[in-house]
Amino acid sequence: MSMEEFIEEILVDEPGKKVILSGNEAIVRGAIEAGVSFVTTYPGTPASEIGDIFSHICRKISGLYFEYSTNEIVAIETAVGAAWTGARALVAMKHVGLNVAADAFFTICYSGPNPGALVIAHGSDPGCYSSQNEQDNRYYALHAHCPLVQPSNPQECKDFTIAAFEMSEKLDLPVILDANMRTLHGLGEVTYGPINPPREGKRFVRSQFKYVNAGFVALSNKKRLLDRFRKAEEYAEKSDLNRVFEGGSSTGIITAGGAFNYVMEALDSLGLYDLPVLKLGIVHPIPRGLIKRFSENLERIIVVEELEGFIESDVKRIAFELGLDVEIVGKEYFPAYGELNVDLVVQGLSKVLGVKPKKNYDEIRKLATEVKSKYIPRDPIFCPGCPHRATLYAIKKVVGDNAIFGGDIGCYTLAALPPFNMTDFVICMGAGLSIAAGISHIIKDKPIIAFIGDSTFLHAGIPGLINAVYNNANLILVILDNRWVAMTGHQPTPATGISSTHEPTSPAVKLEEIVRACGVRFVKVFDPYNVRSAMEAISEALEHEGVRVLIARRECALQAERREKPRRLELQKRGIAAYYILEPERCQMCEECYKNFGCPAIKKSIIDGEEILYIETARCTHCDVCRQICKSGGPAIRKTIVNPHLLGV
Amino acid sequence: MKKYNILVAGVGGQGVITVGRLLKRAGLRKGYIVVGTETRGASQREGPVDSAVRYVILEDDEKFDPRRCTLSPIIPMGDADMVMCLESNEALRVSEYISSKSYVLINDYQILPTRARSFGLKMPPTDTIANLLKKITPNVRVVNASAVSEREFGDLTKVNMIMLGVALALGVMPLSFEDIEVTLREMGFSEDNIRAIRIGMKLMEGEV
Repeated sequence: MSMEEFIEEILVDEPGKKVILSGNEAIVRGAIEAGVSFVTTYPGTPASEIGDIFSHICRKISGLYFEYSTNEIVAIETAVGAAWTGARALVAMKHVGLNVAADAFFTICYSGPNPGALVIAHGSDPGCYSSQNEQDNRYYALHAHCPLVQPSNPQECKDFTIAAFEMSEKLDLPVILDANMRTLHGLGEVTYGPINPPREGKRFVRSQFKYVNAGFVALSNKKRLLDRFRKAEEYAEKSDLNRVFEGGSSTGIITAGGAFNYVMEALDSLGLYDLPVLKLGIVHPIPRGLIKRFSENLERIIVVEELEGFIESDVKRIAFELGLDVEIVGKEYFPAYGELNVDLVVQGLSKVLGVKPKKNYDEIRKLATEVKSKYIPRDPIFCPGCPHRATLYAIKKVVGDNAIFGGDIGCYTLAALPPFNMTDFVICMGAGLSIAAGISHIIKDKPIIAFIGDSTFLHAGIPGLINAVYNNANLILVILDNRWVAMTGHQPTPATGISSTHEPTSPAVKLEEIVRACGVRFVKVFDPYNVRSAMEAISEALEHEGVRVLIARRECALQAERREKPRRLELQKRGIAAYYILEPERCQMCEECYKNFGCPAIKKSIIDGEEILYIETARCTHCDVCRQICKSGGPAIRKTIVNPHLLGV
Repeated sequence: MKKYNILVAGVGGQGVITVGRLLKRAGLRKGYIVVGTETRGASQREGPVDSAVRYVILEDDEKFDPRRCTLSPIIPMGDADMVMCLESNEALRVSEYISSKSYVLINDYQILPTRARSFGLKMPPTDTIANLLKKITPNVRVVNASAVSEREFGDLTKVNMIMLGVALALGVMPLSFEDIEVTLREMGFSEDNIRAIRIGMKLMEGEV
């Protein structure tokens, strides 16, 4: 389906229509049905698609504003600004984004989003599939007195988004919609409801006692927050987002979010249909009355939830406060790390209940382990033509392994893997630079090189750079400027020259100007596709002291290929073709291009019993780097053009 | 009520997600309850990619019962009914989803992981991989989908559809060629895809 067709489908106002959507798509649909008029985001897997879809549809809905913000705290602040004029605002981010937004988030809860509403749609990542940690953000909700809902499938992603807007508006509190990667990337059937026109902001009414969080106003807002949160507890008691599946057993289960699916399928697999199940939709605040009613005829409650024992602690607290005579178990049977699945829940439940699983897990595991032992793990790699590969290669050629390398968050985190192994630490957005600065104050006998992407630099690098300059750190910062937020799906940055809604603009900022304004004296821009000039820039930087910045500038090869490839195919149709070829008779099989540069378009084969290297033309992006680094005299790699005369003059 | 689970595994860029989405839509058209997930964090970077497609098929007089019809988006261990591996090394990775009842189709094609390049590791050939998996299920077939795609279409872009054709021809999936054909047309796929599925089906029939 093309983007145009998809937009048409997600915007069709046909209540009752059934479509198949991912969780992310369903959140977008839910927000549209709820009349969202203001959306901000910083992209982050698994929630990037929410913003991406809005970036394409916002021009189709009059009164809908969308922006890619420079980071999550900017995104949430911008969104609450709109809410304070009466807008229904949505901010989307990944779970660790809330760390960045936390400073604003806590105090936004003090003020409240009224007269509008604010929903924070965030994707958690149990299993760390694409994140530096798997923190459980339900504790943010607890700490900030912010209601939090957890949907368990795409239909609920849509319905809970609408409910979250209503809650937020009614309670004057932001509401967190917390969905895990499986729910956001999972697909399921969604039944549409009616679309409401965007509820736009109209005016900002000065109200210093609500919005100016300083001194006694902040304190009185805290008290007001506690009052509003009590209202949220009452709201949760009556909400139909919490559901009970009745059963006659004396053991009951409490669960929420993605874990609900695992519980239901695990019970089915164990043939147990009489355990009552309480599925919490609103996970914070947990309604005490509901817990009391649910536990009335129970001797034991099993809490099944992903990540930490958040619900478990709360249910235990409620049971203690209400004097409920019921045993409560949870994390001693279900892991608090990684994602849950049906099998883990089957095994946990069968231990608590003393029943035997129908599957012989030991045997399945034994066989699978034996077979899997022959598997060669497939690390994700830089794409063919990736400028990062060329930059890393050039740096390695100049400094070898005798350096400390600070890594950061982006495609270039892959620098940690073979063949480069050029990352010594990764913590969070922007941390590579400042950790390197810290090390540089102690370690004096090695070059210290930190990597950061263009988007990460704008997101979290600038204060660290100013600090490093001001405090005389001694390091080289390499800004890998590929013009896009490539890892999360090629969103534009303020330096790309594309607006949040995909219109060409002039770039809002120039990286080298920012770097110079931060006080850096040594700033060099190089093109990583030119290996010699890259190596010269690096060598020159090494001869200087203090904070030096190198900007490796070359557009992401995937984006460039999207434009270039159709042109090449068009020429091919006319009989004109350019190829990079590797001539086996000239190749000395040093494997520099294959092993040390590691381009996936260069492959190995066996012809007439002899190993040869070749270039897979369909994957080659003509970056030319392999030709420049070829050690075989001669050169073994060259560009060849078929029928150039057809091109004309 | 019946559950049916399909797992498509391969490497980023092979069309795993595409064939998964096609199967999800086709199931929805048939009136099945459809659930699934995609592991695609590294899909554009030659990382491993999966698509799980799960159907709940109700009898005519059967009602939706959340106790029996709620599915996890991930397939439980050993519960995959049909496994299509577009790259043979990836078949080893998904072995825990396979049981003695599963059908496993393995494309005779390998993409060497960089780790193997850097450390000079050798991948077991596809036949060895197939024999390993035969320890779990007898229903393992090696398909030369890449070679056929290259020959018939000039590139590897139709491997996923050829594999799907082979799977359809086995006659064990709750979908017919017509179901897929209609869905493909609805989704705006080119006729080449339909031709690739037919080629896959013939490939299977030729082998039997």
